[in-house]
Formats: sequence, structure tokens, C-alpha cells
Amino acid sequence: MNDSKRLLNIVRKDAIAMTSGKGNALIMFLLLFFVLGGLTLLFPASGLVAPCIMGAGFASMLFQNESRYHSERFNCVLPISRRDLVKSRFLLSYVLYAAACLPFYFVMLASQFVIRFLAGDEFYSKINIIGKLTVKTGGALTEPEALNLLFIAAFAFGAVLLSGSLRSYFCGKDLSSAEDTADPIRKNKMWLKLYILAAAIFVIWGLVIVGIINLGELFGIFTALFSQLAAAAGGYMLVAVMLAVAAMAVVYRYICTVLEYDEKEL
Amino acid sequence: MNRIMKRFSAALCTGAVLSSLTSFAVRAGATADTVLPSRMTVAEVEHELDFNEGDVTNGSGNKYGATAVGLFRGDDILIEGYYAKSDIENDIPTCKDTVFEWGSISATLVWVSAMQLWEQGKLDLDRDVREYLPDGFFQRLSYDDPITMLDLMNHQGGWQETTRPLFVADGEEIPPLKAALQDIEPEQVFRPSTVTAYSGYGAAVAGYVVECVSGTDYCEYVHRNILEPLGMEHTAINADHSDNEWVQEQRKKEKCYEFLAVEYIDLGNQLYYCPVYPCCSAAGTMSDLMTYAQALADKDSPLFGSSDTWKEMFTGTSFYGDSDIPSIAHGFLCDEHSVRTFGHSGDTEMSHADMILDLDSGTGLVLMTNQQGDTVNNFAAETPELVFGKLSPDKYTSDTAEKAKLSGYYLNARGIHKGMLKFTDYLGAVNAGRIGEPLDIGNGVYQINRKLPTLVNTEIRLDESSELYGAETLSDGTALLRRPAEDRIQHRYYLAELGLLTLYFLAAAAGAFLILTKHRLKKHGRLEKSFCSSMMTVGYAAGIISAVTLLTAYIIFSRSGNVLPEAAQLTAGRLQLLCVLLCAFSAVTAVAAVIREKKRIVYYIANTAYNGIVIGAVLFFEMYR
Repeated sequence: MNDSKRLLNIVRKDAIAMTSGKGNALIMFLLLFFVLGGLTLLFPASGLVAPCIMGAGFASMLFQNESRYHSERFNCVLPISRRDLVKSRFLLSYVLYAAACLPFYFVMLASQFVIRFLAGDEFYSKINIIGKLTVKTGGALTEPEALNLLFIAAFAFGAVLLSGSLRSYFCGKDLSSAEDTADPIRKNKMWLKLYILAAAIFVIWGLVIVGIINLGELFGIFTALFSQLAAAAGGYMLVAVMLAVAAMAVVYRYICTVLEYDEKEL
Repeated sequence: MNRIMKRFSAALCTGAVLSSLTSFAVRAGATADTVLPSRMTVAEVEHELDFNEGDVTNGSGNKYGATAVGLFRGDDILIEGYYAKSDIENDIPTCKDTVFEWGSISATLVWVSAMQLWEQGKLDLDRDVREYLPDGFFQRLSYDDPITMLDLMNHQGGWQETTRPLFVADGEEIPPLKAALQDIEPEQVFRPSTVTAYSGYGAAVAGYVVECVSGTDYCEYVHRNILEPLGMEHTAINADHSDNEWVQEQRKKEKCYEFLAVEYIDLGNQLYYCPVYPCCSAAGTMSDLMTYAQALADKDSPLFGSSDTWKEMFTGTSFYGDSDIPSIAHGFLCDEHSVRTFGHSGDTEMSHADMILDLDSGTGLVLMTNQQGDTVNNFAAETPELVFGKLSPDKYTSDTAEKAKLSGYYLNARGIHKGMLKFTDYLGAVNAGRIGEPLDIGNGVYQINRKLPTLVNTEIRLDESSELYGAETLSDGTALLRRPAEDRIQHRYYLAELGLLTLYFLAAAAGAFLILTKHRLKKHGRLEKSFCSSMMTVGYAAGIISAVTLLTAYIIFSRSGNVLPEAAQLTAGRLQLLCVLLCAFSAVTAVAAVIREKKRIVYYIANTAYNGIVIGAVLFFEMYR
């Protein structure tokens, strides 16, 4: 069996597991989808929250049946590697995440017309948070561009959250590191690392307090860079940057998940 | 004792304000009904000013720092108002004795001096200033073209912003004008007479030219030929204000404020000394500046022997496109309100000041605050428009005016175009397609009408405004948009260059992720140790160090008042060169690995691309200089 076919079979198996059983994931998902969708239709900015909520809770929602019935161990008897399992679930989660987020974007677009039609321009002007944000850019961004950017930012943030929740779903309590702590030498090393980290945070905090490191200026330069990226090429450069940073974080967490899940005792 | 003295001076100031009773009143010779160029009456403007002072909507009770406003028409003073507190802690109100800094308005003293010398036939405005200056005065010129006094007046000497210290904190460290100018000489990045980029350095050079031509110390010259004839006894010119003891003492007492969120931050007296003093060191009372402004607005000005010189001074020397609409007139910046105005504004660490003159009606406005910038203080932000109105969309346009289309990205001419902070240039670009709706009014002039969304309470309203731009093309085909004081230059490959800068920062972020990933792989025993792999890591680390070095240099630059100390420049430059070498070595190792191993090709190619981006960005943005 080739790689892609094997992955597809695992996805199919997960999809069956997801939609079966009482109070299955599909019902919960649809419930959440329609509540958030309705809210977005009334207050367009709510659509930005949807990707973040989905990113945080998607993994546990999708694989809740497996957790509920402790069927994770069945995977051990299947002729698939753990790496394949991680890969297929990352793939499935991100495809579903993208598919679930996309409608919110269109609902946000539609809600502008719906609110104007139902409550008039004046009311819309009062609740139009995205429009107020474009005012702050001094006209460098139009309202649709600001909406695109904010949605992509929320989408990218949600994607990073999703990778985190997938990693914690797969690895849970890190058994290998728990074993490590039983070893006195490793335990001391871990404490040493913690001390160094704490000392570094303390030193940096001190430098910020006395003003040697000025976070305002550091943020200032990135704010200026982001503003330029947002204003250039209709905001697509900033979109690319946000997606690239999110992709880096997701790939890093995917690699970590593969490594840690491989060593986990089921 | 100190507190008693402060209270005593507070009482004195209060007395001065109460005794004059003219502070908020219209003086004799003009009535409250006098109509200003904006079509508002003096009484209406005064009402707005009073409203600004009483506006406590942010809950602080003192929304604005010390502000002094003077409005005149001819010899009649229409408004002389002193608002808010010059010292909030000690409750000292702003008064006639409050001293403010002129900032760049100081440069107008240079231009007036130059016109006086021109009137006397001692100075030729079209002659290369190097003929007046000592031999070898300029050390960093890139072009052999002459730099005339007119170029200096038009800010077309071609210099970029200096990264050397323009101010010093210690009054004992002030070098002579010539040495100070040579210390901070910036790079010449534009051919003279082509691009307008406001240059304080250029104005200070003009001051030194006045010194060389007149054979008198510049400060002494200004006192003898401008301040004394006008009776300006409360104004100092020198870097440390030592030419007027009263001003020097008074200035030390003044404070500067920054408004943050809900309260004022007391920034102290922000007393810095500018060794190249002709461009920005004058300080004095508002009434003295008003006296000077009145003399400038008077066609029979006592500053010149003949009214022809006055007329010549306010004749345009730089224009919008091929039109006769001036953008600069012998150093005075022209603005199009509902009437055409001439003047200058200025900012220092301590203050903001405006001097705006409508020569046709003889109306003038001077405004001084102890807050930096013209947007933080409502008096500074709103008063010019209250008095002079704003450019009406149909002033220059007619029904037949054609809609034009501007496109491309433009960078501000005033900035840093060479050296390790070149990248900052890219952080202020403007998309010409977004400036507004341009109308071609002929002769290469565009009137750009804008409807900027603004927040009024919680609602979005469209604020209409108009602005003129002159379109020109340089000899190399580069398009520029002319504005008073600062042109905008088209940058054809802006998106690609901004993309490179972005990739550079992204590469640093990717480097961090890759090092973390390698650390994870090592921890789980999945990393094959090899020389090649180590060199890859060195490349990633070099990318991160390069970005951190650049950011650190920028932070030092910002914190030191837009100055990058030489030691920091050297260290940062050397570190960047080291990073380039390491990245190059890493890239070579990756290429060799592709040839030798013939596997993991994608990984090695990605590594080469990573290093290529870092090397390309460091070299292109001159981070090593």
C-alpha cells in the first residue's frame, strides 16, 4: 500500500470513529458552528474569534470518541506507523479546520450588508470595529483589506493553537521526560536549565525595567514593518508573512509530536 | 526655599497674566469681528482656543501643555493668549515670560541674514557656497555639481539625514560651528538642485556661509542685524543660549511634557545643546517671535533696506511641477490653505512652534508649545486651520480638470538612504494609489482631494482635505512628487526590496525554529552528527545574530535621539560582516553536500536559500556600513 493510500485509510477510519457514538463530534461541531455563525452575522468582528476557538478545541472535539472509549491502543495493532497516524490526523484536522473557518469569512462579508439592510448605516457605523481600525491606519488599508488581514491573522493564530492542542492530545503527559526526572543526574540538569531560564528572564526583566531594553522601540520597529507590509500589495505580503510564521510553528510542533508520540508508551 | 521660589514665580506669572488682561482679549485697532482668511472671526477663533484649554474630556484636568498663541494683522495684535500650565506640578501658568524653543524656525534667521547680505551685494545666491567656505570644508560629497545658497534654501543640497549627534547634553562640550558642521556631515545622496529633502545640516551650513561672508560670528550677526533692530530682548540664538542670560536662566526652568494615556509625564527641561545652532537653537518668548513674524509680514520690513528685497524673499524658488505655485520661497515653506501662506514650523525635544504668514492680508500666527509634535496638542493641530482655513477642493480645479492616476510606491526623500539604517527608509513608504483622488490641474501639478475616515466619538466620519503635489521626473527617469520641505521619490522595485527585508526577518525566525527542531531531534537521538549539519546550524545562528544586531542598532539609534554612536556602528558593522562570512561558509558547505551526498537535496537547497537571503539582505541594505 502506498503512503497516500495508507494515510487516506487512516483518515477514513478516524472519520467513522468521529461520527459514531452518542453526542458525537459532528453534532457538537455543528452546534458551535451555527452559534458562532449567527453571532458573526450580527457582529462581524465575532467571526475573528471563531478560528481561535476552533483552533483551541478542535482536536479534543474531533477525537473525543477515542478518548472516551480509550480506543487509542487499537492503533497499535493496525499495520501503520505512529508517524503515519500523527501525519494523517494533522492532515485531517487542518483540512477540517480550514473548511470550518472559510464559511465564517463569507458570513463576515455578508453580515456587513445584512446589518446595513436591517439596522441602517448609522448603526453599522457604530458597531463597525474593523472600519474603526482602518481609520487608525490613516487610509493605508481599505475595509475589505483590513478584514482579510484580520481574518488571516485569526486563522494563523488558530492554526498555531490547533497544532498545540494536537500535540498535547497525542503526547499528553510526556512519559519520557517523567522517566528522565527519576534519574537524579537528569533531574539536576533539568533544574539547572530551569534556573538558567529563570535567571535569563530575571536579567531581561531587569534590563527592561532600567530601560536598557526598550520594548516600545522594539515593538515600534515591528509595528512599522507590519504597517508597511499591510499597506504594500493590498496586504498580501503581511498575509504571506503571517501564514509563513504559522506554518513554521505548525511544522515544528508536528516534528515534536512525531518524536514524542513515537516514544510514548501506550 | 526652592518651593517658595517656585510659588513666588508662579504668583508673578499669574500677576502678569491678570494685569495684562489682554491675554485673551482683542487689542485696540482690531475688533472681535475682524474676519480672518478662514472666514472665521477673531472672536470665534478665541472661543475655540478657550474651549481647547477647558477641554478636560480625558479626565486629566490639564489636557495640554503650556501653549502660547499670537495672532496679528499688520501692527494690530488680535490675540495674545497663554494657555494651560508651564509647570503642572508647581501650578505655574503659561505667561509672557514663558520661554519656548523655536526649533527649525531658527533657520529663517539664516535665510533673512542671507537676503540681507544679498541686498548688500555681498552674497550671490546662485554661486557655489564652496567659494565662500574654507577650502576642503565638505569631506563626503558624492557629486561635483555646485551647491548654491538657493539650493540650501530649497533644501536641495542632496544630503540625507545625519546619523551623528545633532545635540549634546553637556553645554561644555559645544565645539565651534565649523568643527561641529564637519563632525556631522551626512552623506550626499542626491544630485544638488534635484530633490527637496529638508536638511537641518544644510540650513546650518548656510548659517556658516553667513558667518564667512559677513566676517562676523553668526550669533553676533543675527543679534546686530535682526534681534536688536526689532527690539527682541527675550530671544537667544546660541547653542547654549549664553547670548541672552535671561533666556538662558528662564529656559532652565521650563519643563516639557508628554501625554500618555491618562496623565502627563514630566520629561524635565529636556535641555540639549545643538552645536550646529543656526538650524534649530533659538529660544525665547512668544511675544518676541510675534515681533519677528510681524516684521516679516510687513512689506516695509525694518529688516531690509528696500521693500524689493522683502518682495524677492517671498518670491518662489522651488515650485510644484512646471507651475508658478511656489513650494518654497527663499527658505520659507509655502502652504496652501484657503490663502497661500509662508512660514516655518519647528520641533525640538522640548517644544513645537509654528510661524505662519498670509502676506496679502498681513495676517500672521505664531504658536508655541512645550510638547513635541504638531498632533499631540490640539492648539497646534487645529489653530492654523482656524485662522487660515484649508485648501478648497475647487481652488485650483475646474469642472474640466482631468482625473489623474498616480501609482507606485514612493519613499520620503528626507531619511537615511545609505548605511546600516537604510532599511528604516522602507518603513515609511507611501502607495501613491492610496494618497487620494488626484486631479491634473496642469503644468505637472496634481491636486489631491482626500476623504480620510476619522473617528468622531464612536462614529466614523469622512474628513475632506486637499493637498498639492508637483510631478517631476529626474534625469535617470525616476518620478518624484514635490511637496514643501520634502519630496517623495518613486521606488520601482519597492515591493521586491521590502520582500527581501521581510524574508530576512522571516529567515531569522525560521533559523530559530530550525535550531529548536535540531535540538529536539538531538534530544530524541534522531540527529546524525556531521560537519555539514553543524555548519547548517552555524548558518542559522548567524541569521539570527544578524537580525538581532540590526534591531539592537536601531534601538540604540532611536534611544539616542536618532544618533548611532560610532562604537555601536563599528561593532554592528563587524558583526554583520562576520555573519555574512558564516552564512557564506554554511551555504558553500550545503552546496558541497548536494554534490557529494546526492540526497536530502531539498534540505541543502533550502539551507543555501536561507543563507543567500541573509547575505543578500545584509549587502543590499548596507547593514555592514
